[in-house]
Amino acid sequence: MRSMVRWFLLASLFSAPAWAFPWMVKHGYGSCAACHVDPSGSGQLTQYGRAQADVIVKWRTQPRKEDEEVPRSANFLWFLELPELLNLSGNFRSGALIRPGPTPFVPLIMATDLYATLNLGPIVAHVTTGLGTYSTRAILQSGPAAIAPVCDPSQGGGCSVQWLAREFWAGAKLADEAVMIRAGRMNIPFGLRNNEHITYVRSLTRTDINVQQQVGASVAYNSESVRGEVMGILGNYQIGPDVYRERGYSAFAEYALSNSAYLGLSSLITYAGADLQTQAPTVRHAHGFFARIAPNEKLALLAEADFLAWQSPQVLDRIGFAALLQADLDVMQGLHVMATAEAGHTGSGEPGPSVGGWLSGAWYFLPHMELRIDNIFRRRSSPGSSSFEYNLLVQLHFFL
Amino acid sequence: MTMNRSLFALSMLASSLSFAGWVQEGTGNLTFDAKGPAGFKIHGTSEKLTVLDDGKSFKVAVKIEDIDTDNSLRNGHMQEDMHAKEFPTITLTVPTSSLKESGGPIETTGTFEVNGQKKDAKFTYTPKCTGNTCDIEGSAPINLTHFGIKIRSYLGVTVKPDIMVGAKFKVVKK
Repeated sequence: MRSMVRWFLLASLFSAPAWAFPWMVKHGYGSCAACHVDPSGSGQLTQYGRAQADVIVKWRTQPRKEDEEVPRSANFLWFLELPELLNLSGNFRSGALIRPGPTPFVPLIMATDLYATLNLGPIVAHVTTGLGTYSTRAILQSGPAAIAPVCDPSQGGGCSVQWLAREFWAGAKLADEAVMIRAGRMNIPFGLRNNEHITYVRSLTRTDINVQQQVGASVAYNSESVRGEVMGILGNYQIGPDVYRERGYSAFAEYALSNSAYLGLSSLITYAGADLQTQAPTVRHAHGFFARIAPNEKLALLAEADFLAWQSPQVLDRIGFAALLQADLDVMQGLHVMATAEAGHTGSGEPGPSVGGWLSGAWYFLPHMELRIDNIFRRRSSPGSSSFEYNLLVQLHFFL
Repeated sequence: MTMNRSLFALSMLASSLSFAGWVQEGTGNLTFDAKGPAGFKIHGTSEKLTVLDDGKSFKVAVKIEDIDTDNSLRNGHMQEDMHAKEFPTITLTVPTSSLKESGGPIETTGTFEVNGQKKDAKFTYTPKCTGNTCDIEGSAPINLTHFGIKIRSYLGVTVKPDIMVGAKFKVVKK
């Protein structure tokens, strides 16, 4: 039982729920809306996105012929062509964590989600459902209503399995699909929408696509030169009581400097009567910039830097930052090598920033399938100490 | 001696007349930019643009099969929609006499031939000339439906017919 709990603890730390490819900028895709149901990217693919996953993302040893159509295997369940009205999919990710220490090999179950989207003309309804983990400590802290789709071992307590719905929203596309208005539970619009949710830019801003979705309403805009989204955040109703829910806004706007260079700004301010970690009334700020640049068709450079601040009402408690720089190189179609450098500081009295370096590879070896390996080197800085850690994360991912 | 000089001068004149005009130097470059819904855009390029001046008209041409959009599926669909097997080349023809060697951007009218159909349309160009060599950069908005091209809707994405075509090349006056 103890080992099972440990698995879930680690699974929740390292899970990565979906495909999100900000490096598609190297293929001329600055906007995400044509390929993803979410207008700001990540998660379920549209039918067009499925086709492009086969044409651009999947591993090939021979150049694709121009009269070659997209194979049937790009469809749902690798064979089933669905009507435009209904878009079904699923997302499954499992793997293993290998690292020095008393538990050198830990199997992981990271995501088991099903997706459904209804396209009724301009009206879109989207829902995901699956299994995740929850923390018994969250229940102790927040009462029996608490459902925390993340289980953080550093918080103590045990974990178990639960049903979870990361996203459920309905929206309308307007102005030739340039504008999308949505309401429901959705990803927070902020910064790069990258898969690596444990990177400091995602975890310290609480804007990952793993467990940081919130209920709210948003307006997204996508044109050939500008894209962005503004979301009014009403809170995470999968935690309780209400005092823990963050309310405020999050937004980003990105401008196309050219067909291969994009520069964006993000901003987030939320207030919670009790912060989940400090239990204190907290106004949380995150403001920064991000960039996506493709010097050529093989290479994408992704960068993000965010200023962070935490304040009790009227009092500035802490300031910090999070930063990331990633290079994504196509060795050949479907085989990527990524190098990532990152840093983060929470202003909690650490002797210096935490820093990390990732050396990763992703192989999209079959339709809908990905094998990914991450070598993660980190020097974690905490008040009074710092420690070095290494994790080798091996993941097998497929979507239906 | 005087007769020889006269013959030489005549032969030089004939020679210069027979070679009057512009000759392409190096490879020319064509780009096109198209838009679709929700910020979708396509950027296509060809490095095989050709320029021909027969003394009366200046013709810029590119083969559709040489245009690359960084997506083989899209290239294939583009070739089918533009009937590249029947009409493999897109051309812009301009009377040589109407072209200027300085100034810019200069707006003028040329004849575009796309999908076997000819239409007069405006375009702008900027010549940068040094001696006998000119670098030319030009662009033109084109509506593909005016040339009888119907763009397919592919899995919910339809490219708009208004595209922007750009060309860049170097010519030398002979």
